Amino acid sequence: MADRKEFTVLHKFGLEVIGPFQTAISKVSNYSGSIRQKYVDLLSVREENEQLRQELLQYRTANIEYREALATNVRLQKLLELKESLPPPTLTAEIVGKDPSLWFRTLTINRGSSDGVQKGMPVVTVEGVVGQILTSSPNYSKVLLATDPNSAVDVITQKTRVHGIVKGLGRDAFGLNYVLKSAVVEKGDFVLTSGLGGVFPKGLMVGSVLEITNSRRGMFQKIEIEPAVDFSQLEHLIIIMKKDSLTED
Amino acid sequence: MFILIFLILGILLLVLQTTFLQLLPVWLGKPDLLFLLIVYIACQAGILRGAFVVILLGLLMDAFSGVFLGLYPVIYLLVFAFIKGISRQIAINEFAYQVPLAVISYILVGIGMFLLSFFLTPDSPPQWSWGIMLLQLIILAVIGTPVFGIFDSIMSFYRSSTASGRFPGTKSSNRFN
Repeated sequence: MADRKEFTVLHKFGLEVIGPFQTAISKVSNYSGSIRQKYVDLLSVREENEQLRQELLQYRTANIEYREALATNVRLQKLLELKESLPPPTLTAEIVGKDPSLWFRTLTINRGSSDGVQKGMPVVTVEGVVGQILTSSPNYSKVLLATDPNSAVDVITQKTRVHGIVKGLGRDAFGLNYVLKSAVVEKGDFVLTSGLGGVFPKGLMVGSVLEITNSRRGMFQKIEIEPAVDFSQLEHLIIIMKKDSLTED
Repeated sequence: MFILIFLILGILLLVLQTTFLQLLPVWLGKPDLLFLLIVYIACQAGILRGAFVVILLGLLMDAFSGVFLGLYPVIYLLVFAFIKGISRQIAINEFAYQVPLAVISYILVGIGMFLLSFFLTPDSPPQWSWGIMLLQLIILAVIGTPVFGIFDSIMSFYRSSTASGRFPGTKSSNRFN
């Protein structure tokens, strides 16, 4: 039995011949196994990477939504503060469309006659005067912006208490009309609604004096006003539900 | 069918113009797609059907733009009549003529809008800006060809869907047709 445990010459020869092959093959198989393992790991890393990217995208989207919600919250908070400071009743509205033409400046809002909106009602925002209701259907209304040449608002300068009529210039600027040359108006002075027109309540911000030109001809000054409201950034508006508007037919 | 197709198309373009296209930066102007549709209808459609669609689109435009009701139907009808008048002289339903015709018509619309607004409210005259007008004309010239191409495909679809295959609103020379 003891002799049988010992390799014979043939065994030894077979072992010596096959051994190197075994070594080589096992090295190759180990190497290929490690490559395969690396490849599998790489695949899982890729999947994990893809998953992490998606998670990052979700978090980024959530972050953007959160920021947008925060900004909307701040904006609506300001709007609410303004709404509480205005004479009741008031109504908030959202802009659904803008005038596509070059010649007119109007907006379409999502409040109409079924909400009590009527022609001539003033429309404002946190920054100041926006315009007034031009026409309304049951659920929508058209707002004539204060920058439209057909719009007119009775105003007063804050510092020097000079009265005038602000009219739209068809671009993002107003003209302050009917201010006598003898009246003192300063550049940068704030222009507020006077309350005399019967449309807008007194003290709403309209803009600030941008430029004053005194030509030799005529009895009035030519004054350009920079609007307080950024008309390109409008989103939410407040309608002052005033019934006795002078603009009504 | 013709009236319905172009009315729906006009409504879609109007919605696009009052919402999505308003988000474009100022230097890109306001592409007037509805005006291109008016020009296309004037070039391709017959007088009665074409004029009817143009008036309807003008009334719709009145609801979303401007201060004076009835201004857009009048202006669009004038454009329609102008193009129909020219069509007696040249074959404007050919693609090559439509873009220059749209540009010329737009200048006339601008002048018409300005004069009518001026006469309606002399104390609040509208502002004329050559810079903005030039930008609009360039935009119309650039987008004119692809937009007319889209309108052409819609028109082809309409023609193929009708049995006669004639231009809508025009009478065939074949008296037995």
